[in-house]
Amino acid sequence: MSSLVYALAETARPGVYGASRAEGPGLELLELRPATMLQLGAWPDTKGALEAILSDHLKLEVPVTPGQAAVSPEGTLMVMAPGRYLLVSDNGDITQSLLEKIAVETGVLTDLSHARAGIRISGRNAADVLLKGVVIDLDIRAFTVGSVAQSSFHHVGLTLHRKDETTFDLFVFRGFAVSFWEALTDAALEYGYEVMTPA
Amino acid sequence: MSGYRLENGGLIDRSKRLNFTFDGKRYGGFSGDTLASALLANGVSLFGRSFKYHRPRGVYSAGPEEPNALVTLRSGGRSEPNTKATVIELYEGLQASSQNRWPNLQYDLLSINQIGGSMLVAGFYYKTFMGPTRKAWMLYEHFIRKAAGLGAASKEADPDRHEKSNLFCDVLVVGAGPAGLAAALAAGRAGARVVLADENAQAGGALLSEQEETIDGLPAQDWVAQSLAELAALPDVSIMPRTTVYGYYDHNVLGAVERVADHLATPNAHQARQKHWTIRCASVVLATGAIERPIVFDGNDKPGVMLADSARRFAQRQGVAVGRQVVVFTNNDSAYRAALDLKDAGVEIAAIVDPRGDISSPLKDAVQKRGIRLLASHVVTGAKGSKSLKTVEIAPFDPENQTVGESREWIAADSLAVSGGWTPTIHLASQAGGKPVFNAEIASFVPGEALQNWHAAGACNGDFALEDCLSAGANAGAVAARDAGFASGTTDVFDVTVPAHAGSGSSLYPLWEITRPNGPKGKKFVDLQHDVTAEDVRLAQREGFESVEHLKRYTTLGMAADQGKTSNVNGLALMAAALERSIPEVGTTRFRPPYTPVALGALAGRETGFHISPVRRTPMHDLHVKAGADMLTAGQWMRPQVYRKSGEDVFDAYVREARTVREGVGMVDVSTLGKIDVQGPDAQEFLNRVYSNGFKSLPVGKARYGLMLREDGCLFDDGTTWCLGETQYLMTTTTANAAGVLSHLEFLLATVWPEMRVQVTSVTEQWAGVAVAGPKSRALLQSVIKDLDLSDEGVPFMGVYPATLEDIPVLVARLSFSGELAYEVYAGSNYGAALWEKLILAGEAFGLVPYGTEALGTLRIEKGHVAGPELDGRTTARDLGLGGMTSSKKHYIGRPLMEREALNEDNRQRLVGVISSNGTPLSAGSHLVEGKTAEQPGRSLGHVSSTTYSPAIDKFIALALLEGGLETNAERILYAADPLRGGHDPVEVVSPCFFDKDGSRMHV
Repeated sequence: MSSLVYALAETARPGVYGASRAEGPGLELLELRPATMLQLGAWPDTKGALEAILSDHLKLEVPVTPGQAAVSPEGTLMVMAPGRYLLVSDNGDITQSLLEKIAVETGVLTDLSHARAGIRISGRNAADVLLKGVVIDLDIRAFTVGSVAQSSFHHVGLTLHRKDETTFDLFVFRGFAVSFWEALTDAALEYGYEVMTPA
Repeated sequence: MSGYRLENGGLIDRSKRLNFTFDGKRYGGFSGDTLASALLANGVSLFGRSFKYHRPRGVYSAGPEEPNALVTLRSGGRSEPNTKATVIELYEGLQASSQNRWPNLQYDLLSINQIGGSMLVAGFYYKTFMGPTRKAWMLYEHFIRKAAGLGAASKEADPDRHEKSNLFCDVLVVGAGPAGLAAALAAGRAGARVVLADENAQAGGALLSEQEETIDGLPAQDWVAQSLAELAALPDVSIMPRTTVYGYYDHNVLGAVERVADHLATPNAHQARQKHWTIRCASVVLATGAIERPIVFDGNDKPGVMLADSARRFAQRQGVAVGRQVVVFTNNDSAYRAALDLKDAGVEIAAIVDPRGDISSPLKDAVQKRGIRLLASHVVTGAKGSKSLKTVEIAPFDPENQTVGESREWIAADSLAVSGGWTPTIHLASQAGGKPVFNAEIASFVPGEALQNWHAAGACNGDFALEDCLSAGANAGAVAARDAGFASGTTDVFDVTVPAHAGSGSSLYPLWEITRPNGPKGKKFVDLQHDVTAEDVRLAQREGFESVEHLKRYTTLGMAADQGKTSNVNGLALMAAALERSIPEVGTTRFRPPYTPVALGALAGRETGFHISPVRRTPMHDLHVKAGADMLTAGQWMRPQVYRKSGEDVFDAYVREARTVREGVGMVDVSTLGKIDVQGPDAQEFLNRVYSNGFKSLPVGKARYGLMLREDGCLFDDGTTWCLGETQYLMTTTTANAAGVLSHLEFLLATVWPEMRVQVTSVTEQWAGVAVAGPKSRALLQSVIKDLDLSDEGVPFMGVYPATLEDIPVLVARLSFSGELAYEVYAGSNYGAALWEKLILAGEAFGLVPYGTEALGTLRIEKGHVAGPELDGRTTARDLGLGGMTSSKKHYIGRPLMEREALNEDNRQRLVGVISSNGTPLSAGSHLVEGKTAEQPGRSLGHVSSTTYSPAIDKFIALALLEGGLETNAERILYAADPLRGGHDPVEVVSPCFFDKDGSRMHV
């Protein structure tokens, strides 16, 4: 048996909960268990150099402005602030391979693989539920696919990434995961929700 | 009053009968009724008792302006006081009860207040209940509050859900009357995201009462239906009925409450009763309409007296006649519609009383055609009746000289419909705008300069004619859409037909108060909800409260839940008359949110009970709970306090746990410690500047205890920092200060030393941490760690090494907070639970016990290690005996101010240990004094900061901060005085290190 126990293992029990809707549950919730969550930071004059390495290594184009994410088979790279990035990847060796390429003069890597809990929320009422806590205009024209934001929900800080029109990936501090889950699922009750089995 | 249900008419569904109770009595009504209309239809005229005088009151209006018919809705935890019967939608099984009466509504003993009423003037309580001492008020208040007031809140928890959410749009339209609908159509057609909110269940506003008007060839109500259908079909328009926009805040943020399930007995499963919306938008159209104004005369509060248009609304919307013999008293054209419609519905109109001499001929013709008696140049001087209206007193009036004639006529009537004109509903505009502007034509205030992006349209802007409302609305909608970046096409033009007898909006003859030239001087009410009379306004003026803001507070006119909806303009006019100034000179008060009351539940949403704020759990949380630990919150974290065995109390448990650590081995979850990843080429130099002790020489694989000072030289935080690589460090902080230290470091890097190449990141959540402490800790760990030699040579004191614990990658650091041989083992948080379980399993052979925060405290107090209670923001390193850790060879944050004389005086309070001399437990917070008795303690020389029972020396001990410290107090006997909780016990002052003074136990 693996020694890894994810933050919501005991809490996010698969099943259908809340109001029963003729069109089915308004949203689906899934605990994300990526192998790697890695923060990367450049120095003020090495942003370009770091982005070149990331672009090459991850086979993606690093978005120019913060608040955007780029996705490739290697993972999702979110630009959190100028010169600061969060990489979420299913590749458990990616930190080591990036460490070999990025010297401390270019930037630093901080492993956050255990520091966050990830939740994917998707479905027709996903935005309705998020809006009960997140003070961001989630209209698809204002918060476009690929947008990333840091916000809070029920006093829990969260990183929000829009995957498509009705799918959002959320990352919260691991210690708040259960509390956050309770608040999120409570907000979802009126629409009905289904908890999916993690991969 | 004897209201009844009309044979025909109304927007109610007569096929759906609903049963309800009022004060326990059963009644019937129809779907589409309000509680007020259903009670009126049942002939009920008495709805409540007034605030101060307990006068009988009926229903005064048909909307949210209702000052009289306030009832308590539902019962038990669901009961809601002060709800307006005029806005409560009837549902099957509704329960309501009247308020402010005892023993019952018909026979209210406190109605005796009416007799002494001339005493109960403005400021009565302040003036009367002054003495004899300040405490006297405390006694009086209880009885005064019981006698005066409205409904009482339930003390039971509300079983229903309230929720909060956020809403974003381009254009918010407040009010779905003709102006609001036109605005929403214009903005919606332009492509803007539009939210149309209306406080009523049905959109349409005033159009819901209109049978004769047409818009674009359609009957008004069909036009409403067509407009709603078009809006519903637009993809970016949402219509929100039952939603009151109550507050307008900065940056175009508005507060609204949606009454999701208030029209149901109980909400559906998982449905909120009310939802609070915080709305952010680019632009707002205020189409909030207008409220009819009363006229002030003797007895104008009698049950049966009501606003004229409200009487019309009851007939048009719910098919209810408000009485059988109705007198209409109006100073403007609008109330003629009420008289004509009621007459057409078969209600007897006893007379129309109008102070104006010159009444337009279409109105006159319509009145004459129906055979209604018209008394032009007359006024109502009084209304009589006790629990219901019986007669109306009429007198001739000279509109030129504004004088009331002496002759009298009494007309029998059970209903008196009054109109003093219309007051634009400018609450939101006033909240987010400049001073309201007086419009003499309508004798009322209209919105002033917009200080935010809003546009007023329709009746709330003083435009009462239907065509004006529609075109102003359409225009405002187009402009609002443009504000949000949506160009609109041509401005909508409306083809409107209005009957000739609709009259003119500019026909008003301003009339505020009717005063008899002689005869009785009864009470004339300005603010019906707060029982403020015309005489109270004049009294306030005589006593110097001339400013409208003072008038409001002294008399309570227009305060609280009512917000002056019916009383504001009349009150100002009376003050203006008393001051012999014009109304604009007197000015108006600023309206404040909320426009109508907002339930606290709606503001709280789901943040109630355990969920009032989030809690933080360590990766081992579930295992602690399973092990039966008592979990306590430490800040947001949940931490095990003790792991009690059966029969143990907290004391027994922590003493056992601490003793086991000293004698064998224990382990504690230290995952909550703050952890900060410090990386970069300049990381070491950075640490050397933020810590008061040297960090230059720290080699890779070693940890060092560091002290951090604030800029002012006082201690900020402490913790160990581990050198994991030449440019990578793991800094630990106290649990409580984790966030504060991180912001301190970020601030320094961003502003003080921006040239330094260092990044700091919180990794508190990345690592699960376990401290394994006790003489057997090495043997235990070595039994599960095979790739690292844990001997004193392999892992020396303060050594930090990576290792593998069974299959878990860990960091092992030889650190001790307990004074024993000890290690901290860190693993990735997702390994935390497995790490704990593996140690528990392996520990069985070594007698391992898990220990909680109590034993953790005991062990550190025995060793004299400082923590939060000593790092209280006032102490310096020297105060706590850590002066040796402040370098004199380098610069660091806090050094210059640490050298201030005051921080280095010998008589400062410094860390000492104290031992209870008589075996009594000590309380943290006790003061150290010289006096032997609690009665004469003498001055405080310091205080006890951390206390425990010490199993190591079998005594109650404590750390304390004491003037002069150990140097001047060693072995002295003082007293720990705890006057609040009781306690005055002798203590002996000793060294703060109670146990193993040479530290030999951890260096083995």
